[in-house]
Amino acid sequence: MKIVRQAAASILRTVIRLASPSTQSWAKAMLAELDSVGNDWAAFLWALGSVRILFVRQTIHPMGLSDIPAAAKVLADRMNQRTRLGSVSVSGMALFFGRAFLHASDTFQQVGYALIVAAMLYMLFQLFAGRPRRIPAIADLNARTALYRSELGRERDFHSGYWFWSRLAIMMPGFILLCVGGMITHPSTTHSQIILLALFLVFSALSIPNNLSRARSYARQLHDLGL
Amino acid sequence: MTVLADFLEDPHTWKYGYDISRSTGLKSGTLYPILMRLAEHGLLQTSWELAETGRPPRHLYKLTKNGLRYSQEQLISADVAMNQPPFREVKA
Repeated sequence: MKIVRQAAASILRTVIRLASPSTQSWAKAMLAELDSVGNDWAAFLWALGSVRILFVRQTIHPMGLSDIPAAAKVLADRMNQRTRLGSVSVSGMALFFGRAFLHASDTFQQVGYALIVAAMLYMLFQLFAGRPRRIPAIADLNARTALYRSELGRERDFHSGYWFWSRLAIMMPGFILLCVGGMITHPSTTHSQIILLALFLVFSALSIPNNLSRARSYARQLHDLGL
Repeated sequence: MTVLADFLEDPHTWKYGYDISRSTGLKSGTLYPILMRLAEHGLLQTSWELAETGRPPRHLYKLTKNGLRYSQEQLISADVAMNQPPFREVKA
């Protein structure tokens, strides 16, 4: 059972590596508890729970100018975390679909895989373009406020407008072609291909209100900052 | 609410995350985001215990003064809500 406990420790160490600086100490706190969990499987479940920490969105709504450096830091941490997590998952998917492209059996699927890889590379580009700018150590409060304002604006634009819709639009054709190609080549899998396509469309549809509500939240923060 | 009630049982004692998880029955993935939110709102203070030889220092948690007041208020209002009759009689 030693291997289970080692797996638990590995999960926690990975979470620590991927966590933003503001949430990292919480993941370290969970790792420190691991020795106190007596049962190996309980320790494994304990470690699995730490993954949720990665998705806890920490926010500070500045009540005054003095809160802006802290709020800017939390925002930058979150943007950095998105770049890290997003890059890992998008690169992994690009490699997976790239490999599948080499073994695709028909033209539809080949084009589908190629489009998905192109979409993943485009998302990777957006993630890197959307990473936070560095705040100079000697920046005064005015400069920090201006930078915070511009970062909030970039975040709002990341979740709405051209950035968001182009991300969504570029993902669509690849998946649709892939499923259509699957139905043509292997008619016996038509049902599962339809389910796959439906799931993809549902998740894509869900991403619209999710992103737009985030964009609205950033727009509100920008508005409040201007008051 | 369960976490706040657990802290209120002995509000002046520092607690470990795993002990809170056991006494509340909450899984780590549920408990830690709650602790994070409480700390973010200044309701919970955190500290690392002094390192002992051979084992890593553990993280400790205790309610702040604001946290203590907030928890008491929340538990009182929850208690009041629980004791209220589900339907109010309407007099004709």
